[in-house]
Amino acid sequence: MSKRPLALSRLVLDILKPHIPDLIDFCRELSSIKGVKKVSGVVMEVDVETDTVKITVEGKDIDFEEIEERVKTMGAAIHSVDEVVFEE
Amino acid sequence: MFSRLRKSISGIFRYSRAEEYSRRYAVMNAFDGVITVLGIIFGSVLLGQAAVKQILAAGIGASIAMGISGASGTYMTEKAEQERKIKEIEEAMLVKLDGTVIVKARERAAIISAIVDSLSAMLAGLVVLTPYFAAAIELLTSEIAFHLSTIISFALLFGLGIFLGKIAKKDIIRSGIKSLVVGLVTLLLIIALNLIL
Repeated sequence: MSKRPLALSRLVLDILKPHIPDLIDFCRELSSIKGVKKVSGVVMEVDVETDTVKITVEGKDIDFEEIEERVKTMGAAIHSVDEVVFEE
Repeated sequence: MFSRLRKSISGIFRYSRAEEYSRRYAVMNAFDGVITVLGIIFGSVLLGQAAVKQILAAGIGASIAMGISGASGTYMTEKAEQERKIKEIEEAMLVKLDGTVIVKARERAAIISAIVDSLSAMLAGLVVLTPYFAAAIELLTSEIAFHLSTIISFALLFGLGIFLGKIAKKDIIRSGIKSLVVGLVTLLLIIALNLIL
């Protein structure tokens, strides 16, 4: 009997974003994605035009492609995926 | 529908931070509208003893011209400013921002600023002219229209001054009086011109 595939439940992303949208609007936008139950963000570095933020997304069966797309729509870029958790 | 429009405009302002520009354009151009039409009325009455319909035509013409010049000038200026800002962000991000909420909001902010600019100048001018509309359909005499227009102009100037005082969080009465002085200076200059000519 084949094992049921695990689903993405936690992601920690290192993101470079413009100052606007601010961190609240940014996290709110990600929180509206299907399957996402919790979004938290921490500003790591502030530059003249940009912020480097660490975003943690938690939920059940998170759609990573959708997260990538929304991040892009907000003018930001994922620099690295620092932590991933798959679970039942 | 109204709440959707409001939400969409507040979204544009949130992502473009252009609220203060629109506010600035609104006050600046309402000021322009009032002073220009006041100038036309005073100039026509004192210097030329113009008829109601001539004043009305000149006033409407000037209001439309201000509206069009305001919309096109502001749109081009704001668009250039917003594009410059987008380019700065793109250079810092090392990515193209086409299709993002930032570009969309900034493009729309230029349009909103142009509409605000155009409408504020046109409406302010037309409000000052209202007594002349009444005079044109013989509800008022031209003399009463002249006095009423002057009162409306000064009330609008005072109101705009109060609004500016509120924005600056300063003494609103003083700010209102300051903008009244601008109207008075216009008036005095036209009276002086009348004495010379």
